Parts: sequence; structure tokens; C-alpha cells
Amino acid sequence: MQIRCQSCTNHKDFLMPLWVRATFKINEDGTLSILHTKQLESIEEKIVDQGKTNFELTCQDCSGDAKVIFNEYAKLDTQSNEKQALEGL
Amino acid sequence: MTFLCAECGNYTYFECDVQVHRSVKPTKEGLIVEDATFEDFNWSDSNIRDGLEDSVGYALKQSADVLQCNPDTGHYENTLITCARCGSKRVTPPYSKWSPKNYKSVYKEILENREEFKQLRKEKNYYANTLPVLYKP
Repeated sequence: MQIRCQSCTNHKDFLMPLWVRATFKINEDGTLSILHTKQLESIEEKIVDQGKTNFELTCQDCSGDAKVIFNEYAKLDTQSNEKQALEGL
Repeated sequence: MTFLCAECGNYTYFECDVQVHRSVKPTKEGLIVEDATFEDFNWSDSNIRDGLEDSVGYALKQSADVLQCNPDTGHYENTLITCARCGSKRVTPPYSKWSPKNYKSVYKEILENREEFKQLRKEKNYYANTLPVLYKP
């Protein structure tokens, strides 16, 4: 699997927003103390939906939309299939 | 006391949903998901703290805006903050600053503080008539 930025050449660092549920305590002096955080969204689902229903995965360098390529060898497979078909003819 | 749960009386422990940015790094072994950091600054941690303080501050200041009437129960529920003890959304500030009995008009308050204001005007410095001075390094 590859992730590439559609605006720049970055393919290493990306950002994804995720909703978390924070359990917190209100102290006597009015300050907040965080006790626990629980992730509410699945990263895998968001990555699969990237480009289909959302563009939440963004480039860390330029904030551009990222493109997820699940099988980078798919194009090579198609090319080799075409080559074999031509050789068969 | 900042918030009070109308169901169980809890005024200490609450829950709130906040959005956090996480760093996603694709590698040969798979995806590495970790906190988003920029040099020494942990952006993910900052997201949680800032988001929490924003939500609590907003719920305190605009308490009427975050309360929504639930037609099934007939109660007003907080859209941002939930009780961590009983899971109820009936979380509100325990008091209101506005009170029909103790209402005082602004005009009346100004009249009451008239002498104090006169004193302040005497103390006030006026710089409006002084000419600007050229900056000398």
C-alpha cells in the first residue's frame, strides 16, 4: 500500500483527524485533568474511505489531499497481462 | 462547581468528544500511527487539551446554546458534555447569573457608581494633546 500527496511529492508523513472521547475531572481550582481517552473512529475505515466519501487524510507538509494506492503493482499486472495476451496472438 | 449532573449529582467527572490529529506514516511493514509532532511540540496533545478547554468554556458561556430539548424525555440535554458516572447528558452549570428577583438595570448601576466614576475621571491622564515624539535610537 502506498500513500501519496496529490499536490507535492511527499509520500511519508500524513495527518488524519480522529474523534476521541476524553474523560476528564474538574479540579477544585477550576482546572481540567484528563483521566482517559478513547478512540471513537477506526483509522482503517477512514483510510479505505479516503477519496471515496472523504478526503480527511492530508499531507503533513502542504495540507493537500492524499491518495491511497492499495495495490501499487496492479498496473504492472495489467501491463503483463496485456503483454501476454499480445504474445498469445 | 462548574457543571452538575441532574441525574446523579456528579460535579467532578465528565466526558467530552474532541478531535485529535494523528500522524500516519506508511512503511513497508504497514502503517505507523502516532502523535503528530513538530520538532518538540506535540500537536496531538495540544489538540486534546485545547479542544477540551474550548468545549468546557463554550458550554459554560453559551449554556443555552449547547442545551437541546429531548422530546422523548422532556429534559434538556447537553450536546457537548456527558456525565462520566451515569452517562446522562443532563449536565448544566448549577446556577444562572440572571435572576428575575435580583435584576438591576444598567442605568441604576451607573447611578449608584456615579461618585466612583467622577473620582476616576479626575485621576485619568490625557495624552491626546501631547505631540508625538520622534523615535531616537
